[in-house]
Amino acid sequence: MDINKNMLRDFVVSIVGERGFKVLERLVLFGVAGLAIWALVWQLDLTVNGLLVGSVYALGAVGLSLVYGNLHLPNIAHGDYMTLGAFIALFVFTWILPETWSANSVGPFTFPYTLFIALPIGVVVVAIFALAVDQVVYRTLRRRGALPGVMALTSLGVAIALRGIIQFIWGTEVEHFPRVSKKFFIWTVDVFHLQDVVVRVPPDMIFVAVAAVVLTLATYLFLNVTRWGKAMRAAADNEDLARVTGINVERTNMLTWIIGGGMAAAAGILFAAGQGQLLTISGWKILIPLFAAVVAGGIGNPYGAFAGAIFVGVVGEVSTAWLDPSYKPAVFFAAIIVLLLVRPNGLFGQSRA
Amino acid sequence: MSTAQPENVAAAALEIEDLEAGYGPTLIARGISITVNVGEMVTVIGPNGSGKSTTIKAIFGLADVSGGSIRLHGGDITGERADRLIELGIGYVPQAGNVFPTLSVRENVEMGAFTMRGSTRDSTERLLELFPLLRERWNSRAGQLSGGQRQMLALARALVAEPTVLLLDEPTAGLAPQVVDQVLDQIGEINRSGVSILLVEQNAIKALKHSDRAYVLARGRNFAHDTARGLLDNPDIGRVFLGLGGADDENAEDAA
Repeated sequence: MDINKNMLRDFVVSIVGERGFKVLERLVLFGVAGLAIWALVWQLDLTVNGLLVGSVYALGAVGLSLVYGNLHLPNIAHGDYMTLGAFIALFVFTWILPETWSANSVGPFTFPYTLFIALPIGVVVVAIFALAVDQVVYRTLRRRGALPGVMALTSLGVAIALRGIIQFIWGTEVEHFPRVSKKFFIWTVDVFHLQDVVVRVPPDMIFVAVAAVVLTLATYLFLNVTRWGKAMRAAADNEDLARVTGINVERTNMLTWIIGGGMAAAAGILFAAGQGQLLTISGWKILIPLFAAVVAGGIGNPYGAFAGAIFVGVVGEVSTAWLDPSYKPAVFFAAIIVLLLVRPNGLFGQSRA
Repeated sequence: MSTAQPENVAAAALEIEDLEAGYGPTLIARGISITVNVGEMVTVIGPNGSGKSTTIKAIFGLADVSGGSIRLHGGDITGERADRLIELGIGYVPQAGNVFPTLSVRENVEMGAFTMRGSTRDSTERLLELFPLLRERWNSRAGQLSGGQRQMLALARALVAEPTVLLLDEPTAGLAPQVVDQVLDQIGEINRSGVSILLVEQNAIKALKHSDRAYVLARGRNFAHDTARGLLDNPDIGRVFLGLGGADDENAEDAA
C-alpha cells in the first residue's frame, strides 16, 4: 500500500515539485472535506437519515467486529443470528406475552413495554445458540487446524442452515412486531438561507441510536477495563502467547461468542422494532453494509465499527440526493475503497505488527 | 562428553529427563536431559534444529512430548496446562511475538499476572525498578516499542507472576549488539535476585559469560555439558559451536 502511495506521490512531485505537492495536497484535502461538509449540510435531511440508518448498522456491526477481531472469523451467520433474535422476540410476544398486542406503547415510541422483556430473553437465547454452534462446529474445526477460509465458509453454511430452520418454523411471510403509529419529530432547518430542509426523525430511531451508542460504549469498556475483556484482546493479538501467559483461550473464545451472539440478538430485535416488521432474510440482507462498516472502522474495534457504520449509513443515504437509491452499496463501497487507500487499517484500525 | 560435574547437585529446580518432543510426526528432541539447580543460570546452545527451542516449547505444551519427563522442584509437570505451570512458579518468554502488540505496556504486564489472585502492585513496582524504561512507556502500545524494549516488556510480563524458574527462548535474537549486552545484563540481574533461569541462546559466548553452566545440544541429543567457563575454555567446543577460531577471537561472537 505504501509503495502505491509513494509512486503516486513521486509522480505528482516530478510534475509540480516538492512545494507544489504540499500545496496541492492541502488543496485536495480541504477541497474534499469542504465538499463533503457542504453535501452533508445541504442535504441535512438525508444526513440525519444516514445517521439513523448508520446507528442501525452500528448495532449489528459492533458484535460482528468483536467476533471478527477476536476470533479472526468473518461470521457470515451474524445477520441470521440477528434474525433469530428478532424471531425469538416475536415468539415471546405471541406465546408468552400475548397482552403485547393490546398494550399501549411506551412514551413517544411505537413499541409496548413487553419489548424490554423480550429483548433480554432473545439476547440470552441467541447467546446460548451462538455458544452451542461454537462448541459443536467451530471448536471441532479449530482442533483440526482448519484454515480461516474454511471457518468463514462454515459460517456461511451455519447462516443458510439457520435461515432454513427459521423459515421452517415461522414461514417466509412478512411478520409484524407490535406497533402503534406515532408522530415523527419534525424540524425545519434553514440551510445557508438558501433552502428550507425538513428533517423527519421517527422516534424509534432515536431509541435505536441511543442503544447503539450505549452498546458500543459498553463493549469498549468491557474490552478495555475488565480482566476478561483484556484477556480477549490479548488472545486476539497472539493466541499462543496468551496461552503460555496462562489465559484460558478456550474460555475467551466462548465469551466472545456469548457476547457476539447476544449483541446480534439485541441488534436484530431493535432493528425489527424500529421497522415494525421482520422477514426471515432481514438479517442476511443487512450483512453487506455490516461488513462494510466493520472493515471501514478497523476490524475488532467497537468504536471503529460504530464510526464505520455511521460512515456507511451517511455516505449511502446522502448519495441518494443525486443517485438512484439502488446504487447505495456501490457508493459506500467506493467510498470505503478510497478510505482504505488512505488508511489501510480502517478509521480506527491498529496493525498487529 | 561431560567434562565436569555440576558443583551443586542437591536442589534441582527444573529437571528435564530423556525428553522426546517435536511437531506432529516430526521428532526433534530425541532424548534431551537438562537440569537447572536452584538459583542457577543455565544456557543451552547448539546449531539450528538441535532441539533447544523445542525443549523449552515442550514444557509449555507448544511442542508435542512423546517421551521422557519434566519435573519442577521434584514434582512431575509433564503435559501440565500453561496456567497451572505459571501457578507452580514457572515463567516462559517465547522467542518471537512475545508481547501483545495492540495492548498497552501496562496491559501486557497485567496479562502476565492473569492467573494471580490478589494485588500485584508490589511485584509490578519491583519490575519497574528493574526496567525503568517501561515506566516511561507505560501507556504506549507494545507494538510501538523497540526490539530491546519489547524484550524487557516480555521479561516483565513473565516476572510479574513471580516465577521461581524462568525459561527464555533466544531473548537477544535480532537485537543490536549493545542492546544484547543490556538484555543479558538484566537477565543476569534477574538471576541474582533468586530466579533460576534456563536460557536458549544464539549469542552463545555473551550468554555463557553470565551463566553458571551450559549444555551443548546437537541433532536432538545432549552433546556436552560443563560449567560455562569450562565450555568457553574448551577448544573443540569453541571451534565447532561458538565460532571461535582461536582463544582470543571473541569478536566473532556476533556471527555465532
